[in-house]
Amino acid sequence: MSRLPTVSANMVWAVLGLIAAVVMVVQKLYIALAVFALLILAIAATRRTVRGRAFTDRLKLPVLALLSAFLVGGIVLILSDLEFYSKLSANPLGTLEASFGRVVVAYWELLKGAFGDIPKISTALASGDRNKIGIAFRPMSETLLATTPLILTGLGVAIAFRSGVFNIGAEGQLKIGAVFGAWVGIWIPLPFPFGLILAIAAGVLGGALWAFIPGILKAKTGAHEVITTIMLNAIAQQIMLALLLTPILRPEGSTTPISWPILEASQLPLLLALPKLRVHWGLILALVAAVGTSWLMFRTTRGFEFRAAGLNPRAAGYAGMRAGRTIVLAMTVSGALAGLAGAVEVLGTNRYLSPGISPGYGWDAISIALLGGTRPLGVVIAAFLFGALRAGGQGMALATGVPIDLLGFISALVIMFVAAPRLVRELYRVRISSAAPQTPKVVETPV
Amino acid sequence: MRLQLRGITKQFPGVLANDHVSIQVDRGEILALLGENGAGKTTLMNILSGLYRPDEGEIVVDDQVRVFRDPAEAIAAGIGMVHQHFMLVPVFDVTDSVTLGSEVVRGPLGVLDRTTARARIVELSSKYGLDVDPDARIEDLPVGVRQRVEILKALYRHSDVLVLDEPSAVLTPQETDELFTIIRGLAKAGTAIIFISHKLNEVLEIADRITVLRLGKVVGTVRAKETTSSALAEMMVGRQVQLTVDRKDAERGETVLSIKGLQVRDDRGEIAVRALDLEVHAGEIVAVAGVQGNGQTELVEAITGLRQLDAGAVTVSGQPIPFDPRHVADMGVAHIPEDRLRDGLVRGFTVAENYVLDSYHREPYSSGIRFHPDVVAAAATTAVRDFDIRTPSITTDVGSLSGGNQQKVIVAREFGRAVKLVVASQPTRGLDVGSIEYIHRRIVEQRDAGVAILIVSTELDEVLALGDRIAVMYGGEIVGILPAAEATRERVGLLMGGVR
Amino acid sequence: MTTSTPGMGAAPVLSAAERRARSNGLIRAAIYAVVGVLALGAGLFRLPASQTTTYRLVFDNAAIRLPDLTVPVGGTYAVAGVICLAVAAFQLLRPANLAWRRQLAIVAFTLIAAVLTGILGGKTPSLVGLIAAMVSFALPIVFAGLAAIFAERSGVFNIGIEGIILLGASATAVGGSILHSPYGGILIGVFAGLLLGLLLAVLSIRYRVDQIIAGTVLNLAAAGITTFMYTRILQVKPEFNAPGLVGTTPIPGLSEIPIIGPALFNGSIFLYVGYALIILMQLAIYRTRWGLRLRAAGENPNAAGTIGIDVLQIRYRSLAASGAVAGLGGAYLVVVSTGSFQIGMSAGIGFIGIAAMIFGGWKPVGVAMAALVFGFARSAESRLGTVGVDVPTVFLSILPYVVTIIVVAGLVGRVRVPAAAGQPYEQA
Repeated sequence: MSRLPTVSANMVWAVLGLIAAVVMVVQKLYIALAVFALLILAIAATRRTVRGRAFTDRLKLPVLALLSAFLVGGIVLILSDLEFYSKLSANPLGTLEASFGRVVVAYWELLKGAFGDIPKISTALASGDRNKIGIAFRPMSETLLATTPLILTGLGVAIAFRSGVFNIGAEGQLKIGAVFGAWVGIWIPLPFPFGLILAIAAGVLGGALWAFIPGILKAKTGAHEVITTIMLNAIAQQIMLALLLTPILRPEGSTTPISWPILEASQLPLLLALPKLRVHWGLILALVAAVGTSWLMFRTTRGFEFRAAGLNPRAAGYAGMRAGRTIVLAMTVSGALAGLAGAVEVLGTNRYLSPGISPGYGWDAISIALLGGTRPLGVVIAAFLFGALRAGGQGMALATGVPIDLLGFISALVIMFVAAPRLVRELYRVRISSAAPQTPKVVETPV
Repeated sequence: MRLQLRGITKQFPGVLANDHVSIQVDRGEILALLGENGAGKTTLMNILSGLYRPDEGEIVVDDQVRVFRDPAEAIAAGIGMVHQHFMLVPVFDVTDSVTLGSEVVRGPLGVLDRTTARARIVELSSKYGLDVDPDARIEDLPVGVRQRVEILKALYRHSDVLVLDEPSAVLTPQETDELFTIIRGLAKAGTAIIFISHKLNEVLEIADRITVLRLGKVVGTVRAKETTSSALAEMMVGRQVQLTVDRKDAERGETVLSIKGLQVRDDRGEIAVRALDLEVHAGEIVAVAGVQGNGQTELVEAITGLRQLDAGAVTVSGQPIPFDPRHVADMGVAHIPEDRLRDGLVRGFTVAENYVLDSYHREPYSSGIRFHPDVVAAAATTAVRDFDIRTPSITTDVGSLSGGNQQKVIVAREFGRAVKLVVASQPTRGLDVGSIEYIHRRIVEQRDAGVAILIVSTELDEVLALGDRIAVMYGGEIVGILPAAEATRERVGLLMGGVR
Repeated sequence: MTTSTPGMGAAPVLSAAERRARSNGLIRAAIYAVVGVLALGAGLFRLPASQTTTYRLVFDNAAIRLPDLTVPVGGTYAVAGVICLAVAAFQLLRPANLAWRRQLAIVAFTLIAAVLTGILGGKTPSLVGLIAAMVSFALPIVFAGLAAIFAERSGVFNIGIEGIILLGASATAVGGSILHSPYGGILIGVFAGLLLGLLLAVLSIRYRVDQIIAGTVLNLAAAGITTFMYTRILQVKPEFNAPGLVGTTPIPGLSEIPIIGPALFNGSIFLYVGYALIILMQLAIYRTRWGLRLRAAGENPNAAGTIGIDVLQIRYRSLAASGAVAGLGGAYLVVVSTGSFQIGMSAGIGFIGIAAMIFGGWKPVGVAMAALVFGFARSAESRLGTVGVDVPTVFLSILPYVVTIIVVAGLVGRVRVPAAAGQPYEQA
C-alpha cells in the first residue's frame, strides 16, 4: 500500500475543508454549507482504522459526487447568465465575483427553500401564531412531501438492483399505481380507513402488475428488462393520459385532463394540523416501507435469495435457488413500491390525478438507489436530499429566478459521478474503493 | 523460418506461469507442447500471440528479436493462433470470418471484394485439403469445420508458424484424424507448427519433437521417435513428493451413488459424457482423474441436479436424482463445486451468509419466511471454530478471505449437515499445503464416518493420495477403474492421456 | 433453417430451433387469424350501415388530378380481415417462413388503415395528407433508429438517444439563431450530438460506467439542462430561439406522382439525407470493411481483438456517429417541425427509435420500414385526435411499444441481438 501519497492527499483535503469552512463563516453562510465543509474535513482527518475507513470510504464518493455536481451546476449558472459575457471584458474580476456571489445566493436560497429560514422559524415559534408557524415550517414540509414518493420509488429500484434486475420502469409503475389508486379512490365509497386502505392496495397492485410483466418476460423468454421497462413506461404514460380524457376518471364534459377529486374517506390524512403544511401520512408509510424493505432484504429468506441472486446468480443456482422466481418476485416487489408511491401521490399530495403526477420520481429513483448505496437507510437519506432539492428548487426559483430545472441537471450529474468512481478518483486524487454501487450486470441480451 | 522463445518468464499475482521457458520450432517441423493443466502452455501462447507481454525473455523470429505489443504485430510477424475457444463470429459466413481484419477491399471507401476473397479461400481450402464451404454460416457448421476455418484464418494471413491450442479437445476421433492429415500437409508445405496438448498418443503421433512443460518450467525436449508414452507421462506428471494422507483402509458399505449408462450434453449441446457407469459405496472414496474438459464438469453437474440427463440413470441410495439441486441436497448429497468463487460462494456475502447459502431456508436458520441472522451467526461462529476458518469475523466479506479459508467455508457448509454422499470437484485447487492437508483430512474423516465420496480432480497427486479406487475419465468416458494399490502414476497418467 | 445440417451433435440443437420457429409461426398465424376474424366481423356488422369514407387523393394544387376515393367503412374492415386471414393462411402453409417482420408490418398497416377508415366514416380526410404526415413523423424515428443501430452494432447499448435528440435540438436552435442560418444550426446540432456520443463512450468505456446508467444520466441531464436554458435564456431572449426553417425542395417529376409523390419526393433536406443515410448505412454495414469490423465488435469483440482490430476505437467512433445522427434528428425537430426549440420536444422519439431498431432487425432498411409503420400510427392518431376521438388513439400511440415488447420477448419470431451488445470489453 502506498501510504504516503494518500496521507498527503488527505492533508490537501483538510486544508481545503478548513478554507471552505472559514470562507463560509465569514460569508455568514453557516449551517449546511459549513456542515458540508466539515464532512470533507472528516474524510480527510479520519484515522485509517478498519471501521473508520469503511465508513469514510462509503461517504467519500457520495459527498464528492454532490460537491462536483454542484460545482458544475454553479459554472452552468454563471455561464448561462448573458450579462456575464457583456460585463466580463469591462470588469473581469468584479464580474466574476458578482457571478460567484449570485451562485452562492442561489444555493443559499435553495437551502432556505428546503429547510426554512432559522430567524423566521424562531420568531414564528415565539409569536405562537399557528399561521406563522405553518408558513415558517412550510419549506421543511414541502421537502418531506417530495421525499415521500422518492423514498418509495428509490426503495423499489434499490431492491431490483440488489437482486440483479435493472428496473428502470419505476416511472411507469408509479403511474399505473396512481391510476389504480385514483380509480378506487374516486369510485369506491367506503368509510375511513377502509376506502383509503383499498385505494392504497389498488395502487400497490397496479405497480406490481406493471413490473410483473417485464419480470415474467425476462424469466420466461429472456427479454431484456431494460427494453421492456422503457416501453412499459411509455405505455403507462399513454394509458394514463387516455384514461384522464374519459369519464372513467374525469367528470363528463370536463375539458381538462384532471380526474375527479379523491373521496374524502380515501385520502391520506395530513400529518400536522397546522396551516400550510401539506406533509401527510404517506411519509410515515414510506418510512414503514423502508423498515419493511430492510426487513425483507435482511430478515427473510426471500431477501436472502434476492441478495444472493444479485451478487452471484450462478452460485445462487448452485445452492438450489430458482433464478426465474427470484427475478419475477424482485421485480414485482420493486413495482409494488413504485405503485405505492403513485397511490400516495394521488391520495395524499394531490388528491386528484393529473398528467403531472410524477415530475420524474421514477427517474430520480435510480439516482437515489445508487446514491444510497442500494441500502434502505441510504435510500431514505438520499431521497431526503433529492426531496430537499426539489422543494428548495422552488424557493430558489421564486427568490432568484433561477429555473428549478437546474436541479434536474445537477441530480443527473450526481448519478454520473456516483456511478463513475474512477472519474472522481482521477479528479480529486483521492483513494476511493473502485466499486461503484451495485448495479445488475448486463447479462444475456434478449433472445 | 525459425521461431525461438528464449527465457520467457511471466508472473501473475500468486503464480509464476512461465519460468524461463525456452522453445524452438523450425520451418516444416511439428513441435508439440505437452503438459498438464496449469503447466503454463496457454500463457506461453498468449505471449507468443501478442495478448500478453512477458516479464522477461525474448521472442526471436529468424534471428531477429521481436516485441509484440498487440495481436496485430504477432500476426504481421507470421504467427497464427488457433485458440482453444474459437474466435469466430457466429453470424458471419466463412469468407467474412476468415478475412476479418485483413479484408480484401476495393476503392477508397473500403468496399469488400468478396469475390476475390472467396476465390482465395477456395484456393487455400483446396490447396491444403481443408474442404470448407466459403459461403456457410459459422453457427451452422460443426465444430470440426469451425476449427478448419480458424486454420484458414491463419493461412490466409500467410502465417509461417501455426499454433494450435488443444485442437483436439472438442473434436471427435474422426475429426481429429482429419485434422492431423491437414497439419501434416501444412508442415510438408513448410509451415512450422506448435501443437499444444495433454494427450500423449496424439502428441506421439503428430509431433516431430516434444517439449514437456510442468509448473511453468520446461522439463525437457525429446524426439517423438525416441520416446514412449510412459516416459512422456512421467515427464508430464513428474515425481513430486507424494502427498500423504493418514488413513485406514476403506470399509466398503452398500452402494450409495449408482450411475448407469449416463449421457449428458454440454452447454453447446454436444455430448460431453457418454455411456458412463460408476458406483460409489458408503465408506469409500472414488477419485475421478482426468485432464480438464473430458466431461468431468458435466458429470458432476448431472449428479448434483444442475444438468439435465440425456440418457441413463443416476440414483442415490436407490432414489433417482431429480433435476433440482435443492432436492438433491435434501437427499443427503453434499457438493463442493469446482470453482469456489464462481459456483460455490457469493462474493459480497459475509462468511455467515455463505455458510448457510444452501440451508438458509431450513430450521433453525429460518422459520417460514422469517430469516434469523442471529441463529445463523451463532452457527457460523461454531463452524468457524470447528473448521478452523481464519477470518477476522463472521461478518467479513467472504471474498476477502484467502483461498484456503474460502474453501473451508464451503467444506464447513457442506459437511455441517448429515450427508450420505459427497461430490467434491477440484477440492484443493490453488490452495496452500496446509489447507490441502486440512481438507483432505476432513474428507477422509467423512469417509471413515461411512459417507460415500466422489472426488473429481485434475491433480494426479490428489487423486492418488485420496482415492480408494481411481477412475480415469477421457473423452467423456471412464476408460479405466483401478484400486488404489494398482494405481501408479504411470498407469493413471497413461489413461489420462487416452492410452488404454 | 428448413434443412438440418448433417453433423454429429448438431442435429438436436437445430431441431430445437426449428421447433421454436414452428411454434412461433403458429402463434403468429393464430394472432393474425383472430385479428382477421374480428376485422371481418366488424366489417359484416358495419356493412349494412353503408357508411362511407371519402379520401382525397391529391392536394388541391396538384398538377395531376385524381378523383376522390370513396370506400365503404364495412368493406374496408372486411378487406382488412381478409388480408389478415390471408397472411395467416400463408403462414400456416409455410410454417418455417422467417419473414415475420414483414408479415407483422403488413398486418399492422392494414389494421391501422381499417380503423382509420372506420372512425372517419362520413368524413373526407386527405389520404395524401395522411401519408405526408406519416413520412414526417417517421423521419425523426429513422434518425433515432439509425443512431441506435450505430451504437448497438458496435456492442454498446445507447439508451441516451432521447437525451441527445433533445440537446441536439436545443443546440440547433441556439446555433442557428446565432449564425442566422438554419443550416448552420443543423451543423451545430449534429456536432453537439457527436460530442455527446463521445461523452457516452468516455463514460462507459474509460470510466466503466454501466451503459444503461450512462444513457439514463444523459437523458436526465439533457431534460434538466435544456429546460433550464429554455427558461433562463430562450424565453427571455427569443432571438436565440429563432433559427428559421429549412424549406422543401421538390424533386421535379417524382413529386407529382399522385398520393405518394408529395410525401416521398417533396421534402426538406432531411428527407433526402435520410434516404442517403439509410441506403449508405445498409450498404456500409454489409458491404464494407468498416461494417464488417463494426459487426464483429458487436458480435464477438474477442474474435476481433485477437486478430488485432481495435475494438474500443470502433466503439468510440460508432458512438460518435450514433450521437451525430441523433443530433440530426434533434435538428429536424427544430428546423423542420416547429422552427424553434420547445421543452421536451423529443417526446420519446429516442425510445421509439430503439423500438424501430428492434422491430427493424438492427438493419437500416428495417428501421425505415418500422419507422413508417410507427409513423403511420402517429399520423392516424393525430388525424383522429383532431376529430375528437380519444380511446382508439391510445391503441395507436402505444402500438410501437407493444410491438417492441412482443418482438423482444421473441414471442412471434427469433430476434437476433448483436451478441455482445451491452457488455463492456476489456482490451488486453
